[in-house]
Amino acid sequence: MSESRGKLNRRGFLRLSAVAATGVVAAGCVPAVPTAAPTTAPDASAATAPASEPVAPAGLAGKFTWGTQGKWDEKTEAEWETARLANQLMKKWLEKQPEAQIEQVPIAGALNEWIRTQLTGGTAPDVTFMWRYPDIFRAEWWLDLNPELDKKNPYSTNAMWRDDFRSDILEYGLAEKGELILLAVTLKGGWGQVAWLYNEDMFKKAGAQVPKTWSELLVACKKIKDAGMIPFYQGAGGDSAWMLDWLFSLVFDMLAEKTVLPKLWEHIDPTDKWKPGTPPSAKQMAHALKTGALSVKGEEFKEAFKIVKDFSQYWQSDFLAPPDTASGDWWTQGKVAMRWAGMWDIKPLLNEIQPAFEWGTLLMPSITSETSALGTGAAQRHLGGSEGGSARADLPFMVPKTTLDKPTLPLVLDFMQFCTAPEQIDWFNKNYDPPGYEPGTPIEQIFPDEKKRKAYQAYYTDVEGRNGVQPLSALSNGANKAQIAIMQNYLGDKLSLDQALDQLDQAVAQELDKVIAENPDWNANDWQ
Amino acid sequence: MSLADRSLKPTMQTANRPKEDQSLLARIMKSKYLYLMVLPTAGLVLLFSYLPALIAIYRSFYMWDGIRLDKFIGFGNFSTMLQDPVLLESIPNMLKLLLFSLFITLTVPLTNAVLIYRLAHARMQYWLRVLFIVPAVVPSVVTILLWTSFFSSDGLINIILRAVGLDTITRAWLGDPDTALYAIMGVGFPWAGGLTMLFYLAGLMNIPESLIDAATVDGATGLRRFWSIELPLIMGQVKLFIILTIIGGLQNFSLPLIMTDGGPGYSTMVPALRMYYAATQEFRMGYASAIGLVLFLVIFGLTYVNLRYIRTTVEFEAQ
Repeated sequence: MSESRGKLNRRGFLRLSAVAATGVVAAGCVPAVPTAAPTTAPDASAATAPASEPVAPAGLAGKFTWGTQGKWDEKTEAEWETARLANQLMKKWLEKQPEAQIEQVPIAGALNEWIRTQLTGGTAPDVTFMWRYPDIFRAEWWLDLNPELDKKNPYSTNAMWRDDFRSDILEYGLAEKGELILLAVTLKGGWGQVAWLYNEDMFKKAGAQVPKTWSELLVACKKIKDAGMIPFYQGAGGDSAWMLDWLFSLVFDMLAEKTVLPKLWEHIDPTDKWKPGTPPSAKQMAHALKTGALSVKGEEFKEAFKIVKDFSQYWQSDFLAPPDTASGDWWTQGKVAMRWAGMWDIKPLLNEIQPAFEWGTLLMPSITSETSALGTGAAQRHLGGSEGGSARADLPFMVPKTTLDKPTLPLVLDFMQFCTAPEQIDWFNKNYDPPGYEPGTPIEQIFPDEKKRKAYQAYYTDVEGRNGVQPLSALSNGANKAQIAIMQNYLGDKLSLDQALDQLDQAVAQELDKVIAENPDWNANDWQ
Repeated sequence: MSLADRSLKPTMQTANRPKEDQSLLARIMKSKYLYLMVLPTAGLVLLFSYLPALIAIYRSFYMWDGIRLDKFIGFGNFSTMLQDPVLLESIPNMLKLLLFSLFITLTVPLTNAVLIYRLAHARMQYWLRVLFIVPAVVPSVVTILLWTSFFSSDGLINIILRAVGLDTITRAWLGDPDTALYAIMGVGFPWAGGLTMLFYLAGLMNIPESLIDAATVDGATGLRRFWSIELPLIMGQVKLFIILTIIGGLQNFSLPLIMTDGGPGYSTMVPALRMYYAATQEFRMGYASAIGLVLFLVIFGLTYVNLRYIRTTVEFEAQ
C-alpha cells in the first residue's frame, strides 16, 4: 500500500486541494457580484463588441519571476495539461515580447505553506500560480486587480480587460470585500475533479454491478469481498489520511443537501461577498457554526460517521496504516476493485499505465432513503472544478502586493493579459485534454472513442449545480486535522460514535474560538 | 600512571590561562587575530541560532501567524497549551519514547562496546567497529521508510510471524493505535547504535591497561570489572549520551512525522510534532513558539539536573 498504491500522492493531493479550493460556479445559478463582475459578460466568446483591433504592446523588456507548482518540465507536461499548455502559452507570449524573459520558480511542497513563507520574507515571485486556499486568500497580501481590469487588454478586441472573462470566473477571484485578487483562464464545460475508478473485470468476476446508489454499492462490495477480493482502497492513515476528508465531506454533503446546506446558503454574513455555491470561506463556515446553521452534533455528522464506518469493512484491512510506498498502486495491479481518482490521474492511466483490465470511472454512489433517513439521492458533488456544466477556472494567477513596487509589474500584467485574452482562451479550450465544451454537448461528441469516454465519464458534469462542501477543512486546517484524527480513532474502534462526536464537537468549538480570535475584523460578536 | 595522573589538571591548560592582572581589553588585544578569525563564525551563530530563538521567545507572547496577525496576548499561548487535547495527549507518548530511548542508549551500544573492547584479537576489534559503523552511512529517512515497509500488513515483520506460525498476532503495526507507538520504538532494531557504541568504545580504550591489570589481579573480572572499573571510568560518555538522548527525545519528531503523521488518531503524536503542525499547517507561529519555549525549558531543566547530579568519576578526580 503506498502513495502510489492509492495513486493520489501528496502532490496529487495538493493539486486536488488546490482544485478543491477552486470551485467555480454554475454560470446561471447566481447573480453577478456588483463590485467586480460585469453583468453583461457571460462568456468570453460572447463578449462585448470589439472596440479596436488587438495590438500587442511592443518593447517590453526585462525578466519577471513566475511561481509555478513544481517544475514544469517534460515529465510534468506529460502528466498535467495545465503545465503543458501554460508552458506553450509562455512560449507564445515570448514570441510577442522577444525582449522579455520569464523565470519559473518551482514551488516545492505545499503551495500555501510555500507562499506564506515567501510573503513573510518578502521574497515572493512577481506572480504566482495559486489557488483559492482559505488561509492565504486574503486581500492584504495580494494586489487588487480591479483597476487593471477596467483598462483595455491590448491582446483583446473588447473594450475592457474585464470583458474577456466570464462573470463566474471573476467572482471566483473575489476576496471578502470585493477585491479581485485572482485571475484565471476560463475552461469551458463542466469537468469535475474527484470520482472513483473501478475495475470492470473484478466486478464481472464477482457478479456485481457497478453501483449508482449507496445500497447498491454495499451489495457490490459484499459480492466482491465474498469472492476473495478487496472492494475499495481508502487512504486513511499516515500521509494519506486526508482522503478520509473527501469521503466524509462528500457523504456529509449528500446528507445535508436538503437540511443544513440550504441554511448555510441563507445565513450569510451580510458583510461577506461570499456567494452560495462557491467554496465556503473560513469566515462563512465560522459564521455558520457560531449561528448554529451548522452543528457537529447535528444528525448529518452522525449519519456521515456511521455510513463511513459501515463502508470501512470493505476497505483494505490496514487502511489506518501509512501507505507502503514499496507495494505500488493496488488498483492498477488489479488488487482492489475501486479507488479514488482525480481527473489528472486519467491521462497517465490512458496513455502510460494502461491497466491490463477493463476499467472506467463512476461517481461516488448517491445516498438514498434506503440507506439513511437523510438520504436524498443527490448526485455526488465535485470538489473543485465546475459543477455547473459551464466552466471552471484554470491557470490561476495571483500577484503579491510586493510586485506593485517593482518594475516588472507591466511585464506581469502583459503576460496575464495575453493568457486570458479570448484568442488564447479558445486555444486553451481546444487543446486541453479533455477539451472545453459548450454546455449541452454530449460526451459522445466529445469522446467518440469508448475507452476514453468511459475513463472520463464520471468527470463529465454537464448540469447546473454547486460544489461539494468540505465543512471542517473550510473552517481551518486545525479543524480538519482534528476531524481526521477523531475519525481514525472511531474507525479503529477506539471511540464510540457518541464519544467521537463529543470529541469532535469540543475540538471544533476550540478551533472556532481560535479562528474568531485570529480574525477580529470579522466582528463575530455581532453575528446572530 | 595513576588515576590522579590522568586527572583534568593538565599543565597545558594552566600555562594557557591568561594572567589575572591583565585587563580584559589587553587580553583581547593580545589575541586580536584569534578573535577576528572567530568573529565571522560567532556572528553567524548569533544570527542564525540565537536570534531566531530570541525572536521565538518574544513571539510566544503574541498571537502571530507569520504575516498578518500580530497581537500581544501575554501568556495566552501558554494557557492554550493546557487546553490543547492534542498536545496533552502527546506528552505521555513523548515520555514513553524518551524513556525507551534512554534505556536503549544506556544498554545496547554500551554492551556492544564492552564486548568489542574485551576482544583479545585487535584485528577482529577493528572489523567489528567497521561493521557497526557502516550502517550509519544510510540516510535516516531511508531507514525510516524501510521500517515503515517492514511494519506494513505484508511487510517483513508479518512475513516472519507467519513463517513461525504466529499468524494470529500479525497486524498493520503502524495502523493500530495500540501498537503504532511501540512499532516506532522498534525502528532501528537491534539498536546497535554505531556512533554511540564508538564513543563508549573510545572511552573504554582510554582506560589505562595498568588499571585493568591491577583490577584483574585483585579478582575483578566479568561483571565486577564492568561495574567497578569500566562503567565509572566512562561516565563522561554516559552522561553525554543521557543529555543528547534527552535533547533528541524531546526535540525529535521525524519518526512519527514520516511514519504515521502522528496517527492513527493521536497515538504517535509528540509535542515537537504538534509544534511543527501548529507552525506549518495551522500557521499559528506564536503558539508554536510557545510550545518550543516550553520544550526548551524542559530540556534545559533536565540537562541541568543531569549535569548537577550525575557526576563522573573522572571529574571527581579532577577536583
